[in-house]
Amino acid sequence: MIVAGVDIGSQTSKAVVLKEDHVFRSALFPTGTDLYAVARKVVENAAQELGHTFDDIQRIVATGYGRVSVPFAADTMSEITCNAVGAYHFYPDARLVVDIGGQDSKAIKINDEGKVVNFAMNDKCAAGTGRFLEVAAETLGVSVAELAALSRRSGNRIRISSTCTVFAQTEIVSLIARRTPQEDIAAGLHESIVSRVYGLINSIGPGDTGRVVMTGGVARNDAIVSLLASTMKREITVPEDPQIVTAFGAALVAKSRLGSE
Amino acid sequence: MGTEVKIGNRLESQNRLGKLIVDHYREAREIKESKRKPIVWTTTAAPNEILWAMDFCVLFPEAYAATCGARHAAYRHCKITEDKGYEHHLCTYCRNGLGSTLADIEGLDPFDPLPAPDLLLVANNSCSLITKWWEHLSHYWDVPMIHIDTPYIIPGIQEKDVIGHIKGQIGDLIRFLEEFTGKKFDLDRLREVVRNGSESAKGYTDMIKINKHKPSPSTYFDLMPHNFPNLVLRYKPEVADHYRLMKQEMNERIREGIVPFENMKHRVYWDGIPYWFAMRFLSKKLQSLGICLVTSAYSQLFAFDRSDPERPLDSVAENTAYFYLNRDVRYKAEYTEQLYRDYDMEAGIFAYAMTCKPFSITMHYIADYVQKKLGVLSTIIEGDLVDDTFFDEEKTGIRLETFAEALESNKPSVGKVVF
Repeated sequence: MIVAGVDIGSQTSKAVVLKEDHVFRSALFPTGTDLYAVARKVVENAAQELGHTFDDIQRIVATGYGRVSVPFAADTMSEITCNAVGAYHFYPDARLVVDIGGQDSKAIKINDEGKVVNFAMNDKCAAGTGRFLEVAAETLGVSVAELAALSRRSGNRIRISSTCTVFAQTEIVSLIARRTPQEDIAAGLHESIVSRVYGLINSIGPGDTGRVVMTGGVARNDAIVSLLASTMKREITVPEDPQIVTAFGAALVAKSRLGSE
Repeated sequence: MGTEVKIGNRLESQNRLGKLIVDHYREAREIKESKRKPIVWTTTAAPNEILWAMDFCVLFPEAYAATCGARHAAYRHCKITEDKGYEHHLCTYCRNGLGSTLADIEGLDPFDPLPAPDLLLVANNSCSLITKWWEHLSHYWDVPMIHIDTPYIIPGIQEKDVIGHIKGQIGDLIRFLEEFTGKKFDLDRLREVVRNGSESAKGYTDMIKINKHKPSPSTYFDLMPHNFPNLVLRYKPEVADHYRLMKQEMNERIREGIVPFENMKHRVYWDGIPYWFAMRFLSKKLQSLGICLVTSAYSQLFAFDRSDPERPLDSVAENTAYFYLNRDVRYKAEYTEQLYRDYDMEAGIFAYAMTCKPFSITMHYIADYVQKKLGVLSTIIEGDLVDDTFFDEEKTGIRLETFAEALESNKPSVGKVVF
């Protein structure tokens, strides 16, 4: 049995090709503008990593923003459901998944069977998403990774009052002009994201038991993870590769659908 | 489905509704031309029976805003308002109303504008902003405005005081209108108007309840526009006929096993003012997911079910005081819970309107309340009444798809749902 899940996100496209129960490989490419081409490429790449070809894959499930642009997928499924399925597979005691991607953030509450019981996602705005950090990092002239490192060195986190990405950029420029240390600006930016995501989490009644798992590209930013953990007063688990959890979930859905045929 | 079903075409009642709406606005334009009656612009739950009893032509800017939204014309009016310096986050019904007014006054081609008012009446039972909206209308049209103050109902504490307070203001309104029109108020004519309203209200509320049947003969979105006659035309005896014929048509569907669309799997509650510009998208999306919207507390806004010709003045005051949006959040949550039970609904979609805070602020509470009480799934989507800049089809689509996937996975009998 060989199946695949492909997650076409706003910034990056991810694929997981799963063989039998536990052997898998993944691939990741920037999404770009040709969604079909990137979907094909990312699945082929993951298949090759596993020593197979695209044609060996028996069923593919597509998810993410570009899911409808994957004609070779047998099914589509929302990224929230796939994310929950993937996170539950890795951590059966997970009850809350926080996913922060390129242009959206989500809080997903799951039950002891791994089913979604409540969820919320950000509104039509890039506040509280990876894009916010990218724009902020560009404005400060550093990489996103450097932004996280700067944040950890801050001794005086300042408050960024703009949640809007565009206005935050203006605010950063004025803070630079006032000679505010970059470290303190970086820390303020991280807090801005965490504050937004924390509100999202609370809106679904997250409960206080079970594991909290964080996925998506922003989960690689340990400054965000530790700040969110201290804000929530909970430990947060980050999977080894947090960006492929949703694609993995899609692959598991493909596997279950293949099995039920 | 348990038995074989047939898929229904558009309800014949939609055509009759269309004619009622067209005739209403045609008559209003004729009245403006002939000047045979004064024109008043009013709010949804003001004591409007008094206006009808005194033979005003009564128009509703909120209903007009919904029409502009559904016809994708509201953005034009909103832009005119914003060009004047009003901000983007201001209520979009208000922006639409001020924009069409400014366009009309300045000769800028508004969409089917409401004939200009001679008088404005506003009650603040629906919204905390609306009095200010009306103030601006009064300024631009240079016509008088009357404000009916409707204090928020605190259950069991000051209800009688509120009704007395409103009744007193209705007395003041009558005196003002007598002076404004030079005509004497006729209590018998009010009794007749209230009697017609009572028949219309009964027909409207009975019609809505037919969707309790499983399977429902219509979706809530099919029924929702039929609040228009009970809101705008209930003083006319023929409105009760509209609902009588509509009930016949719906009951006929039930007898013949006709349903609104194929593959209806989930009976779902809708909360909030519809996103008028997105009705086609939402209807198609929900149908594709097997979700049948069955009812909404929004219907209750247009019930006016306290109308009683034996107590015309008191019952008009009560309709104003007990308007659904003037009730406390606990009342709304319990009312919603009862709807879930009465209509046997398994989940709810709460449509947050980004510029309508007075309505939307209660949604999280109500969604959470019914979820805890009944163990049902709720989802909150985000958009707006008539301004599509606050709406994202993709994000809304993902939320609804996830919602449907969660309903499927949580059902014990997925794929074998008996409606």
